[in-house]
Amino acid sequence: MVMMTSSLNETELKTLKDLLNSYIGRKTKPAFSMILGEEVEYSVRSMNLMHLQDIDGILLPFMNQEMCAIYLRAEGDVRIGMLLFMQESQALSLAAKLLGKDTLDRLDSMGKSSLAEVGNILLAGSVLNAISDSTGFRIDCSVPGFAIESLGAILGDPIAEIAVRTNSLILAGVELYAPKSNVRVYIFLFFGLDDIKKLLAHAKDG
Amino acid sequence: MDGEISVGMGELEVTDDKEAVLATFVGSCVALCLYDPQAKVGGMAHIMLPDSSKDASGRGNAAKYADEALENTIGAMAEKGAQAGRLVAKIAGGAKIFAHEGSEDMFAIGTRNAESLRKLLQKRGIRIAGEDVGQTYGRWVRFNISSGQVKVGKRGREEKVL
Repeated sequence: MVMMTSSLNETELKTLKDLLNSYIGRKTKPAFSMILGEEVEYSVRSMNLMHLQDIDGILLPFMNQEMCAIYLRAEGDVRIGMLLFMQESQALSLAAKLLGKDTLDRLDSMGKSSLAEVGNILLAGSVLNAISDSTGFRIDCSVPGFAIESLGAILGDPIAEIAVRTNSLILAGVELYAPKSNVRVYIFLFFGLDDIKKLLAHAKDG
Repeated sequence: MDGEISVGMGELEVTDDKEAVLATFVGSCVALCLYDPQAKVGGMAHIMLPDSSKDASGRGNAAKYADEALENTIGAMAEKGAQAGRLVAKIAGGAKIFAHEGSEDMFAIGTRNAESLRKLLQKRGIRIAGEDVGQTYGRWVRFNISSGQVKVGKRGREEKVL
């Protein structure tokens, strides 16, 4: 029988935030820095427990904001929804840099593909890798999905997939910023409550 | 908007208030709008996933799954005087938001939601009077209880009336 938990205490949320800080600092920040060829700043902005019935109210102010997003779904010992997103202007700057161009007017297939690869590196190659190293969990990852849509539409898939079992989820928000290129991207990680408990029980920092 | 009732993810709302407009935003989720034109009773469900049978736990939201959403909406509408034999359905959403270069099935949760709901409605003998499903974009859905009209708004596209 699967035991379902309904909440996390403040200490657990803080431990999670510290863990994520460590994962991002050790793996994701250097990876993004290497992609861009410059120093990158990062910040773990949030670590919140959200209940399904409250999600619309929390996200409503941002629903219509158009974003460029890359989504990967990780499954195995734990299930994690991983989203890398940015404003379209930022996506154009990032894709131009990746393709060795001064500027891009629109995201063609090469531009989208390059951004999907960044998502793959930052999410599967660094975040997921850090979680796996720290816990010993075996986790498989999907190919990256790409979208340019309102944040409301983009968040629907991960929320449905993660919140479905317990009607709640842990949403971790990370910001990465490259001052020289002025590129700012965001990572959202979606965990189910039982999976986060497993992660807390198995994670070894450092 | 006055009289607008927001329907959250996995939730349903039923009303016989003729001033009311039931509203939600869907990406891969599907908005089911059921209407009894005679009793002027309407219900909207925000469906997230196609089938509750794969869920071993975590029940609680009345409209999370297509099968439960349909039955729960019909039940709640009956309590307000609607009759199952008079119901018509309009559906919107079920988009495939994320594109990728692999299997077509990878992020097709929206397609599966819409297909499941169509089958369930057919099985229940409820006619689909209008639909705007699929594609790759999110939609605002507004269901006017007085008229039974469903307006579907999309970013940068003309509003569609079902």
